[in-house]
Parts: sequence; C-alpha cells; structure tokens
Amino acid sequence: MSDRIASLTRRLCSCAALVVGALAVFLCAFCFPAWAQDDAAAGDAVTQESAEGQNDGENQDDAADQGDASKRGSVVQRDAANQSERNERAQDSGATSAGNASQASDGTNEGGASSESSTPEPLDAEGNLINEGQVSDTSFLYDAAIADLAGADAYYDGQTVQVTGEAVGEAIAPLMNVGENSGMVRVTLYEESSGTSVTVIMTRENAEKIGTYGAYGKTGATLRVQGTFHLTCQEHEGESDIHADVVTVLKQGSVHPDEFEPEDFVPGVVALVIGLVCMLAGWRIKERSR
Amino acid sequence: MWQKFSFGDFLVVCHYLGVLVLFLAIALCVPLVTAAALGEWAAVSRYLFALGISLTVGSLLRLSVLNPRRLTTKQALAVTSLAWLVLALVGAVPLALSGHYGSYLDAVFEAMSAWTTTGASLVKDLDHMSTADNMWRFTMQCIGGQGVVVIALSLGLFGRAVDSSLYSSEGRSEHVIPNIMQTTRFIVRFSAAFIILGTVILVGICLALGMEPVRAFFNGLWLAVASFNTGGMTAMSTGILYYHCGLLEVVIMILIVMGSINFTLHSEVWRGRIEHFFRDIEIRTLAVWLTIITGTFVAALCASGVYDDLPTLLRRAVFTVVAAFSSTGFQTITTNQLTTVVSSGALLVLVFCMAVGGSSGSTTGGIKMMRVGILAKETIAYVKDLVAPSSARQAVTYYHIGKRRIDAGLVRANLAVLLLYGLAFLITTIVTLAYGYNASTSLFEAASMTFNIGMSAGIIQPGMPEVLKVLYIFDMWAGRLEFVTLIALLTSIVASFVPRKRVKHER
Repeated sequence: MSDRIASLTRRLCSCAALVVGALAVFLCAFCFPAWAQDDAAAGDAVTQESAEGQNDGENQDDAADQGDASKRGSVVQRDAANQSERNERAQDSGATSAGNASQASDGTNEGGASSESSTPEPLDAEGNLINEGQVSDTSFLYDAAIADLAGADAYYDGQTVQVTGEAVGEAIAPLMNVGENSGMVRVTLYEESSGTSVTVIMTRENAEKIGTYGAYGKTGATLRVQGTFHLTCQEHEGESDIHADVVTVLKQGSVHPDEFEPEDFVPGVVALVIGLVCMLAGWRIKERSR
Repeated sequence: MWQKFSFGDFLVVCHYLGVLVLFLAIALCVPLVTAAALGEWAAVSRYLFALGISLTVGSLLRLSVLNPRRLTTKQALAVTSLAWLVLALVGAVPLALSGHYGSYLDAVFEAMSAWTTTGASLVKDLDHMSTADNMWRFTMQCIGGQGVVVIALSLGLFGRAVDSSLYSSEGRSEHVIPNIMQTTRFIVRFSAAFIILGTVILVGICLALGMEPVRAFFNGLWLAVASFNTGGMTAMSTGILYYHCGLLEVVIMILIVMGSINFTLHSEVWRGRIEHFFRDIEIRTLAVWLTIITGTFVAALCASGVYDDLPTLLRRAVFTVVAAFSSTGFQTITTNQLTTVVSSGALLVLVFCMAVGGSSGSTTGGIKMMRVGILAKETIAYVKDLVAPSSARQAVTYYHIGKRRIDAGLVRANLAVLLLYGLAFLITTIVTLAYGYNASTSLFEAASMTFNIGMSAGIIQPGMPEVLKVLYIFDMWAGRLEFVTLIALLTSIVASFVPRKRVKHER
C-alpha cells in the first residue's frame, strides 16, 4: 500500500514538474509580444524618419547610398544618381532628362522645371511598364539577383526589389482562403545561374499569367517580379518572401518531353544482358558444384 | 589481440555483399517502372544501365564463394559495415548520370545521405529533377531507414546461414520478437502501415494546396517516407517551406515522432501493454529533454526577435526541435535565417539537440536517449556512492520492457559510443574550421553530419571542398553504424595486414 502511495506521489511530482516547466515557457512567450511590439514601434519610427530624409532627394544622400550599394555587389542604383542629376539640371536650367524608364518619376519634378520648349518623348519600348506613382527614393533596388536574396542579411529586409526567375512547381494556395490570405498564392522563382529560389506572394490574377511551371520536361515561364522583400515576413509566419507589386511575364514556358530514341537504350540493354549472363553463369556454376 | 580477417573471410563477405547488390537491382526496378509509366525515357535508359551494372557486380561478387557456411560474428560485422558503402557506390550510378550532380563524388554523397537517412543534399536544379530520380532517392531513404540488413533478413535473402549477429551489428541491440525473422517482418509491416496512412493524408493535403493529382501523389508519398524514416529529403529546392502549410507540418511531426520511437515499444503498445511505454527510460528521458530544449530554443528565438507572435514562434521552434532531435532535418527556418537573424546561441541549442538524438531501435540518429538516460542514472548513482558510507550498496536499475540492472559492462559500452561520437564530432569540426568557415557554422554542420541529421547552415552545397565531402560521407556512414561497428571493422582490417610475430622456440 505504502509502495503504491509512493509511486503515485512520484508520478504526481513528475507531472507537476512538467506542467510548471510548460507554464514557465508560456509565461515567457506571453511577456515577449509586449516587448516585441515596443521594439517594432521604435523600429517603424526610425524607418519612417529615414524614408522622409531620403525622399527629400538630397544629392549627398544619393551619392552615399550609391557608394553603399556598390559595396553590396550586384545591387545597382544607376538611375538614382541619374535622377538626382536630372533634378539638378531641371532646377538650374530647366533642361529635361533623357534616357530610361525612371523618367516616369520626372512627372513629380515637372512642377519644379522651368519653362522649356522641348520635352523629350517618353520611351515606347514594348513591354516597358511605367509606374507613374513610383517616387524616386534610394530604397529602390534594381535587378537584385535571387542569389543575393537567398543570402540576404537585414539590409535587404523591407526593401523594394526586382528579380527575374523561372516559375517552378505550381502556385500553392493557402488551405484557409480567408482574410489576408484570400486571393493570394505562392509561386517559387528559380534562378538557374545560381541554383537558388525565392518564394513570391502574388494575386491569383497575376499567377494566371503563368502558362507553364518548371518541372522535368518543362521550362517554366520567366517572370520579372517587383515587390517588397521580407527576410522574416511577419504576415507569413516568419518566412522569407517577396510580396509582389508588379508581375511581368518576360517569356512564356514550354513543354519538351523526352523523345523515345531507341539508340539511347543501347548501353542499358547491353549492361542488362551482361548482368543476366553473369547471373546465369553463376547459377550454372553453383548447380554443377553440387 | 585484434581479430584478423583471413582470405576466406574476405570471400564470404564478398558473397553476401553480392547478395545485397542483387537486392539493389530489384530496388532499382521501382524508379525504372516509374520512369516508364511517366514517359521519362532518358531516365529509363539510365536506370536500365544501373540495373545491368548491379546485376553484373552482384553476380560476380556472389561467385567468390559458391556455398557459404554460416556467418561468424566478425564476418557479419564486415557485411553490415561494408553494405552501406557498397550500396552507396552502386546506387550513385544513376544519379551521377542524371546531370544533377557535379561529379560522381557528389552522387555518392547523395546516395550515402539517402541510405543513412541523413538528408543532406548536393543536388543541382532539384526542381527540374525527374520523378524517377526522386523516386530512387526516396526508395534509398525508405530501405535505409528500416535498415538494409533488416530488409534483407525479412525477405530471407541471406537464407539460413545467418543468425542474430547480422541484425545486432547494424546497431540494433534488441529483438522486437524473439525470432529474428519475425522481428524484421514486424518492423517492415509496421513501417509500411504508417507510411501508407501518412501518404493518404498528405496526398489529400497536397491536393487541397492546389497540386496536380500526379504531383500530389508523389509529393505525399515522398513526404511520408522521408518523415517516418526520419530522412528529411524533399522534392523541391525550398524544402518543406515549399508547401507553406501548418497542417502538413503537424502530420509530418506525428510521423516523425512515430518513427523516432523504439520499435520494441511499438510492439508492446500494439499488444496492449501501454504501461511499458510510459515507464520506459527513453520516453521519460525524451519528455524531459524535449521540454528543456524546446524552452531554451524558444527563449533563444525570442532574444533574436525573429518572430513577433506566439503561435508562429511555437510552430517554428517545435517543428525545428522535433526535426533536429529525430535526425530528420526538415528546416522551416531557412539556412540563411539560421546564420543571419537567429542567434548563435540558438544554433548551439540545436547542436545539443541533434547530438542526443532519438530512441535506440528506431530510425533516428544521434547518441540515443537510452544511452543518455543510462549514463545520467549512473552519474547520479556515482555521486550518491561518494557521499554514502562505504558499507552501503546500491543497485541502479532502469525500466525498458521490464526492470533491468545497469552493470559496469553496459556503462562501458555506452561510454565507448559516446566518446567515439565526441571524437568524430571534434575532428569534423576542426577540419571544417580549417577551410575557413566560422565556428558556430562549423559546429552545426559537423553535428549535422556526425549525428545523421541533415540540416545545413550553408556549408553543404555544390562546390564545397572535396575533402569535406569525403569526410562527411565517412561521418554519415559511421554515424549510421554508431561508430563502434565501423571502427572495429577498420581496425580489424588494418590488423589483418600486420604479419604475425613469430615466436622462437628454444631447443
């Protein structure tokens, strides 16, 4: 009887220890969100201040950011410097800039330009998507490689990026298609040169532009995606992803199944025949030795 | 004195290795049929070639001895140890021809990783890999998870010339059922049941996620195989994160835990003796250890500030801990996140978690809970002895399908395994550091390879140094055999070449 009571007491103590341990973990976790919210609020305030400072379009900031960007390797901010120069020329002499797609942001500077008679024609490049609402700021990164994002550090978090890659697999829809998940799917973009991939969150309408997804015997559509990169996305359980703003299909995919070529099977058939002959020879030798 | 191998022993070992290579030829029919059914003709030609190679090599090896006698213990040791290497070398042939690997060595790394259910991969362009090649990777994981010898014994490939020494030398110390053949058949049937059930559920989830039926079927099957056998390979380059589904992660965790529990305990629960499960030293040690590790890892992630809300934090932390302790290696925290936003403290917590591992007699790697529990009890008893009067006597026991006594021999065996694991871990870390990788990453990668986990902090990728590839292949191979078997074999082989000392007799 006393043994049973002792055994029961030991079991109760061990269960109580486990429960206390679990409660301690939960208490720590409940205390954490309050700290995280304070830290996140402080971080947002700092981000806002820096964005406002950059949007003032100071040349020194552009040059400094251009220098920083060049240290990162493949990140190019060529048009930011060009834009600042155009702003200067527009303010000084009223001359308008000529060149590339970021001329669209000149629309915001036209109010500051002096009256000049000649205005350059906008680019008519086919497929050139001009985002008239795009404000020139130094957070815009052109042509980031997926390999850079796969090895990204906190610098890239929250930045606007533009990546190009092949859509592979399929568009994965959330199981619970409600709330913020409604109408959004995940597409994996693969970069052949580096062998790295990144997840892109896009609308179903954008995903429907993709005719073929990459797999064996299929080359997926090549997409150019412009959006915000998150190193640990708080909306999507801390995953690294890009929230796509603009999705452009550069090249549709293709299906190229294996063709049945009899000569490709010759080495395999020869090896199989040799193997079967060896098996048969072994069986015959074993039977004879009995 | 070391046991030496004679030429006769060598021929017998060759014969049984030939039997296993012929079994490999049968296993190669799985991807061959898959390729033919899906019209992947390039893959059909490759697997036909690999089939021919296996038949040729297996038949020639079998001819070394026509009528072998019963296996001795040292011959069983050699067969079990060398089987993994030979199967990896032959199993790498179709992978090397696929074009998805930089070299034959990379393909051998992949094959060894699959056979030993480590899960690390050097594959290139995984998203465009053929279904047949993926099927072969997961077939190797399935057979390796059960144990090559277990499968061979259950199929009766070795005939009557074997006893339990072959089974024991694969790192399995206990029989689920007294009869060795019935034990192996129980393990295979039990595993098949869980894999089939897991496949059905996972296929349903994949269909709900928007996958095509054929892709959903294969992905569900492969996930079930990789989860229950704690292999950890996936069919997409983004790994388990490709599916972005919490329900799928829960199902996978259940399969992982089922595969991490000793098959003997499964048998006891199956027979209605549930009290054995709750009183078992491994289950209790596992419960305490996982509670401590999960709490510590959660705290470390909190300090990193990676996740803002509790459900996400717990989801990521629990899944990562389960994947680490069971040596599965699925990652929901990416390699890049592990090295940038997650603190090095969290990485070290995972290293400890990986080192301890799961249950003995299961599909997991690591030092094993049983050893940790026994050594912990022995340590406590030793401390008690120090303070107790010299006349006091204490018997240290543990519960595993009944009360058992901890004796000096058991402690010595467990300590030997622990020290060998530690030595291999140390050597691997030092060699990795020598290539210029940082300390926390080197420790993490060395632990992942030595304990057959498969998680990566970025070192294991195509283009890594060749010496590291060879070292990691050896670590995976030796870790699967819990080091003792392989070290004993290698030492005996070396000793076999040392000439005997002649004893001079005085007249």
